[in-house]
Amino acid sequence: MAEQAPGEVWVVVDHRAGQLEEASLELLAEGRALADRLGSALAVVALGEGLGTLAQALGRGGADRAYLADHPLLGDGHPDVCAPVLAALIRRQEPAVVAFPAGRRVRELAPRVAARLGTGLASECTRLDLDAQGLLVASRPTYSGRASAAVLCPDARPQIATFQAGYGAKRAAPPAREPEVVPVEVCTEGASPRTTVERVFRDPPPTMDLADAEVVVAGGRGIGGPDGFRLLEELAELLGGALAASRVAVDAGWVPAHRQVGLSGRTVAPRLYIACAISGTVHHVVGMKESKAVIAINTDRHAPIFELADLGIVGDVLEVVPAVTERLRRTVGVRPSPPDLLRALGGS
Amino acid sequence: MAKMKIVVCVARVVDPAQPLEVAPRSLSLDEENLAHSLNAADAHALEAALQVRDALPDTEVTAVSMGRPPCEEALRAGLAQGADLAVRLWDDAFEGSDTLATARVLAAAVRRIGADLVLCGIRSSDGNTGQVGPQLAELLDIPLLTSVVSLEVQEEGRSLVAQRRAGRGYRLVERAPLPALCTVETGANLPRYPRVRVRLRSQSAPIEHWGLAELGLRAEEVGAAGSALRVVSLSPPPPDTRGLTAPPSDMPAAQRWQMVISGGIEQREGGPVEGSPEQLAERIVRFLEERAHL
Repeated sequence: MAEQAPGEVWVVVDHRAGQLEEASLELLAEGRALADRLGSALAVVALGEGLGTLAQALGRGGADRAYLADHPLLGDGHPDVCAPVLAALIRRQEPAVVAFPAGRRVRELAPRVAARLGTGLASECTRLDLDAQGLLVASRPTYSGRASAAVLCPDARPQIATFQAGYGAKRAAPPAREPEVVPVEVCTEGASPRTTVERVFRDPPPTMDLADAEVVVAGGRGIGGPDGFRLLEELAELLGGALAASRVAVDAGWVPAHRQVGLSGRTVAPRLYIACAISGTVHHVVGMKESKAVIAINTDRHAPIFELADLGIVGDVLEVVPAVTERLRRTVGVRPSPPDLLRALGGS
Repeated sequence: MAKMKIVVCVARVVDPAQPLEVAPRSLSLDEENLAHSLNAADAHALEAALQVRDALPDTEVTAVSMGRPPCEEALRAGLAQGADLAVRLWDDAFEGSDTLATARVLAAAVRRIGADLVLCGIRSSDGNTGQVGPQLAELLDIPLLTSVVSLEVQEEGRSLVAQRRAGRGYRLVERAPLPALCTVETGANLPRYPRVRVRLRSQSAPIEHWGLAELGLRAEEVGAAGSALRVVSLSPPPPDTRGLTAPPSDMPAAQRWQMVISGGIEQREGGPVEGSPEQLAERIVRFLEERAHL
């Protein structure tokens, strides 16, 4: 590396099926802005197996360079393998900044890489900025979100940060460019998984933990009884989601109390919330309003739940839901095998 | 089978339930005037350790905590819950440690104890980094299992099988050889309620204290000197810019207030759709496809 050139800005991306994840693209846009202000290059770093399919997607991130670590052992993204490979690559190339999109696997990987390199890590950041000296100023929530701390890593290198999706400045995507692809030689000596997955399972909808369910199908007064909830359960099963209920349905004894969402129940924030025959009183809504997407099905077209629905359906749940289930049965194919599942879960 | 030794890392944290006043661009919070408690996730980690001891009675559970004398509150809470021993790690040289420097101190303590299993809460409710556990595993060079909800020691103490949260409602059952480190999820189990006699005894139980010399550490690898990260300022959290909906007046005041602070209810786009059940079902399936839920 040239003596004067400032170190590169790296974004270690999550990818799936030859595509970069949305959060990674968002972080690449942040990284582009940092690199431009520093006058350095932006590099995208991908670890995995069979990365050839990723080549086309890489251009979208606006990176100048792409480091691709392609090795069968990196296929399922086990941190025992990824951490030493990534740490070795960082030692060799000496980037100034390494950023990861925050996520389940990164919460394990990033601290271990930082520990190996003896450098600082600012995790779950909501803002990445530069100070007058060109040091990374990373803002991250602390005290359970009741304060925000700005942290610096003045001496150790690289400066490592993980960034939460959705906090990127809403800037236009950087112009696509053809990054220079640098294949990374993967030395797997001393890098083998020390833990083995024996089983992957998911609880059925009525007992699945509401805290980490990705889809929640909830029913209210209009479901009419336990039989109606069986219809919702079938839909939840097909979507791999959990079954939930409003207080009315719990009080009526149609579903157990641990399924209740709302003020006096649980607070959930799934990727998809399907509110069936729930009118949307605020007591229920406070428990689900952070859901990423909401589908509401209700017979009353003036029900308040429609105000926060991404898709509002005026209709009878007991007719619409079986019709949806019927269609999904035909379209949803075979369930993924455990290895595919592991790979898929790795990205989240 | 030899005696099994479990170390549980606990922390005394600023109680997450109290409101905080953070002045813009302040340097730090005057923590000593705030209420403190045992970090919630750590109580679950301790319970997981006690459950191993229930199954394998020849097990010794040691709670360790890094901090000035007030952190003995957290250790005594651990003793009351059922830990056999407690060790406080402190030296003035530890002041200003970041997560990695903290992990170095804990690693030295774990080595000194000779633990077969190390348990940490998944994250602290004040620092919120979730980094100490993984970094401790890396420094000790032992297998790491994160987001554990339950665990069992098998093969006469040679391995561990843990159930982990993997996102999207999935659970992994994963095996690791011992020694290993697990980070335990908040809510993974029901921490046992202290028994009166144990609780009383915990208040006067001796707590060991180890500093630099006992831990065999050098001053330059810990504390501010051994830390890469510096907190330069503390601010109120960034404001939530989403629109506000007036909270209903029949809500309790505290909850109304909380709703206002949290940004209220977000208005979403798109009016409700009408049609026959088949048309509506079609529309829902299309939405699911578009948003990649299938």
